[in-house]
Amino acid sequence: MIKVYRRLTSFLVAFPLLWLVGCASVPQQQFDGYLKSYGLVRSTTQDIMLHAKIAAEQVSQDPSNPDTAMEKHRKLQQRESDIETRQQMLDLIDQYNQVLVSLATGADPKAVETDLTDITQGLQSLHPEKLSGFAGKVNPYLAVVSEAIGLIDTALKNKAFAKAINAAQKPMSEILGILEEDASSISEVIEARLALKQHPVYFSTTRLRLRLESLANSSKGDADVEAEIGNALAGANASIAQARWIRPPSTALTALMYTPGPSASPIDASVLETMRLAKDELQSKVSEANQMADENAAQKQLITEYRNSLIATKSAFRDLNMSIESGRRLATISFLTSARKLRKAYLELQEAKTP
Amino acid sequence: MTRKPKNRSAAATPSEDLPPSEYYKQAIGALANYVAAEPDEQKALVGMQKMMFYEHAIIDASFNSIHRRTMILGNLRTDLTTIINEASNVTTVANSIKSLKNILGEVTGVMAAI
Repeated sequence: MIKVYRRLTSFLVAFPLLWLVGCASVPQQQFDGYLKSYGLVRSTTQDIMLHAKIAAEQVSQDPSNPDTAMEKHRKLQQRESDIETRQQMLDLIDQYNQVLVSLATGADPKAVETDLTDITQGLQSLHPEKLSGFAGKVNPYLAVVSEAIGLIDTALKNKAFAKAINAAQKPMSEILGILEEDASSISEVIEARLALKQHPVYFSTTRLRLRLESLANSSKGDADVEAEIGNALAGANASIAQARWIRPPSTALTALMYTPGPSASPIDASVLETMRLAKDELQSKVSEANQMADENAAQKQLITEYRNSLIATKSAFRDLNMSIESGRRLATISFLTSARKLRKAYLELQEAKTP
Repeated sequence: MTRKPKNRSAAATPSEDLPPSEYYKQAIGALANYVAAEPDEQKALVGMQKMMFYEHAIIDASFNSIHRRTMILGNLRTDLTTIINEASNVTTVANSIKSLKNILGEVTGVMAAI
């Protein structure tokens, strides 16, 4: 009889509670999607911020930096502090996510039952008869009561979870938006750092180009020699056409032409050899410059994928809120696609890195 | 063209339509043409140094943008901290029972001592 009564009580308590829990349930799929997406963004943000920190240090030590020593020191400190703030924000979001995870985890009825058992035993140990009697009567229903408490707890936590997600929509969206804007600024810094390395190569290339032109146009010879001069210039033109400058000239450089002037003198073998060497050196400079351009392109691709991951995380967080509000499952952002693209961009950057 | 002008922003004032870094990039592009065409090596070298000078201006402008956003992050940190604190202090029945258990433990301890 007691068994039947307990089952009936359990059903009567549990049914409305299950309905309540169902109303405010955590959309686990969307929540997992958000956590995974954020995990990816977190590790990439740390890497990108580390890049920014290294860039800040390099800029401060760069001999071409026109700032005074004091100004360089001040700027470096400020930049390091700005980067540290981003790191602190990541830690804060981690803390927020941990709270969400603990809210998304329901109360364990077994643990509640243990606590209740301890309480009833405690009450029995107190001498007043009425208290002990009450404790004794409650004992058989502890399992049912603890189960009900577990359900109520879960419902309360789910409600708090929904509130925490809803309240954080604006700050989270803005923080992720700021990281997105930061990514563009850091991309500019890295690009400028690579351009600083490429400008001396550009300078050398343009000097070689002018030297070749000057040597060619002050020389003349028989048809074979002039064909060889023409070949050297054509080789130089081909190399320059393949050059990928991070900051290309506003107007494309004109092709070198062999137009010997009236003062051109007969060419000797050493001049022809000098021209060949200059052409080869120019080719090598262009290849050096292109390696830097490749690194820049890979870096930009990585930043693009990183920004996409930030956008995906922002959407995942918004979807989580919408899913709670509408009580239905929404299509989750493809986390795997985002992760794959980001990983690919990383590997491409490693390959493109200049030695 | 000087090697180290004192005021970088005075050396190149951004136009109204373009963000500063785009203006600097345009200036670098024009200087690249100058460097390529200038037969005097010293003058060309100064041109190249000016290109590098503008790269530093781009770096400064980019880090300054990051710094400006740091101020906004400060406010957002406060908002998120408040949300974390509120969400951490959710009173559940199980927690209340746990507290009750602790109180009862203390009471029985005191009674046993009497």
